[in-house]
Amino acid sequence: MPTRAPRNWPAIAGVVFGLGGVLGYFALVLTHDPRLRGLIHTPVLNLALVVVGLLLSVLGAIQANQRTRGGRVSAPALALLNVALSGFLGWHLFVASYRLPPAAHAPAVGAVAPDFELRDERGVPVRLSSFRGRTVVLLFYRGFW
Amino acid sequence: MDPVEQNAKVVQELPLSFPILADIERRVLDAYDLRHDGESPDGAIARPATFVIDRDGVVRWRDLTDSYRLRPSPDDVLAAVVALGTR
Repeated sequence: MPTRAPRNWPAIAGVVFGLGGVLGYFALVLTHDPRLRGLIHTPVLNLALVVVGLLLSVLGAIQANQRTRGGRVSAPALALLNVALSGFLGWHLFVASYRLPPAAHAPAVGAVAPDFELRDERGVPVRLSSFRGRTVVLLFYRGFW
Repeated sequence: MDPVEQNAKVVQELPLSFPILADIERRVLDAYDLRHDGESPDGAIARPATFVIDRDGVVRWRDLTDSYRLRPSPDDVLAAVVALGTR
């Protein structure tokens, strides 16, 4: 009876680390915890997990390639999945989030803020100029997720 | 761009001391040149931005951020407000 090839632990651990790094990043974001701000802005922990995961994946793929029988397909496939996962996180962190419209005509420091009237959460109209005489923080956000 | 009803839900969960305004028609987004198209199935959303406006309605500090992941910290905004002096 043929015995099963031993488990390729580096290949499995690689994907686990990769998933932990990528999903962990979005879990951190969703906590909305101001104390985690630094770890979200510069996600060193998640990037470290992802890098360790990629190294393990490569190790797993090399081990699989050296096998003489069985188990030569799944480790490279897992490594490929891990590369895709990590690539997605890298693309989100360093590329996609920087793709913003230029906002060349946004009111500059020293300009009068354009007046407007919008309805608040109770449906009551609020006019910016009604705050004259008080300091105003005007924050545009991307909506409720 | 969230409607008034969504903002009402947010205020129910978070007792906020400031109003959340609904720019459904994106008129203010356009006036402030902050329209970010193609980010949401129901139309443009905002490029994240923060302005500190003084008592005369003049912008005295702003942050347009390079990345929607990176927003100014509340401390930075408060410092800009405090720098204008209180009255």
